[in-house]
Amino acid sequence: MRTGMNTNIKLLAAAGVALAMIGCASTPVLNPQLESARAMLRTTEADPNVAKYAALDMESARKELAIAEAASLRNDQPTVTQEAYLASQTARLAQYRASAKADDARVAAGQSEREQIELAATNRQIQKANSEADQAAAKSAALKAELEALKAQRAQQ
Amino acid sequence: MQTPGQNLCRHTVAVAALLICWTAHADDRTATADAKIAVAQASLQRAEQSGAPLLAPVDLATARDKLARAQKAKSNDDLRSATSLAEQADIDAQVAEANAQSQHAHTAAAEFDASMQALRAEAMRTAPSTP
Repeated sequence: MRTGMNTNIKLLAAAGVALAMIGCASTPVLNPQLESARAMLRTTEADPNVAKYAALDMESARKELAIAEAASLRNDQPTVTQEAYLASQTARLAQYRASAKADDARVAAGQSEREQIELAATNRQIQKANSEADQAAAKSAALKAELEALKAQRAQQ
Repeated sequence: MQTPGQNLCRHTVAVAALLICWTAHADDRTATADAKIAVAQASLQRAEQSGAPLLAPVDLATARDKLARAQKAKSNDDLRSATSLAEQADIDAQVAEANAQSQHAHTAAAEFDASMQALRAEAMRTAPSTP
């Protein structure tokens, strides 16, 4: 009887281990680098500048994350960590490049406004100079007329 | 019926083939590690010339450190570590460069904004009053 019970216990133990192994195989081990990479990519993709100016970098980051996810399913932790790190860094790269391009674009767009303002200021200066020249000419003509009048008066005496 | 001599010959050929395959693969892995180290070195050089030493010192230091470790691993024939460290050094250097460049662009844009504000203010001041 005892040998029968021992066999049953061994069978139960074996079944338990098998179930645990099946359970372990279906849930990937939590990898902090992978969690961090997923969050980083979510944040980066929400940045409108990134979609506009750094689409290729984001594509690379997504590919690297996909490789990490696939490695996670195989429980290949070294590859998960490596590819997740690369994905995070590529996403950061995308953010920096997009930010620089957005700033450059804003400056380029502002150039035309600057040119208009400077052109208007130059025009005003020209107008002012012309008006001053006209005034000076008018004054000169008035003085000349006064001088002629005085000469004529002198001649009559 | 094969003679023992023929069997030995066949086995030797098989082992030789495996050895050739393995050494070729090992050569490939060495070439890959070398290539990745070279790429990382180029990225690091660009980063150092981009203003990263001043503007992105942490990213740059990380890249330098990983490249040094990659080269050390390669000299110890640890090709797997050499390759993965070189990959990391490369992306770290690119991030350092992009970090520095984004700061340059930000500074230039801020200066432009300030000069535009001054320009607009001056324009309003000297504009003729509407009759």
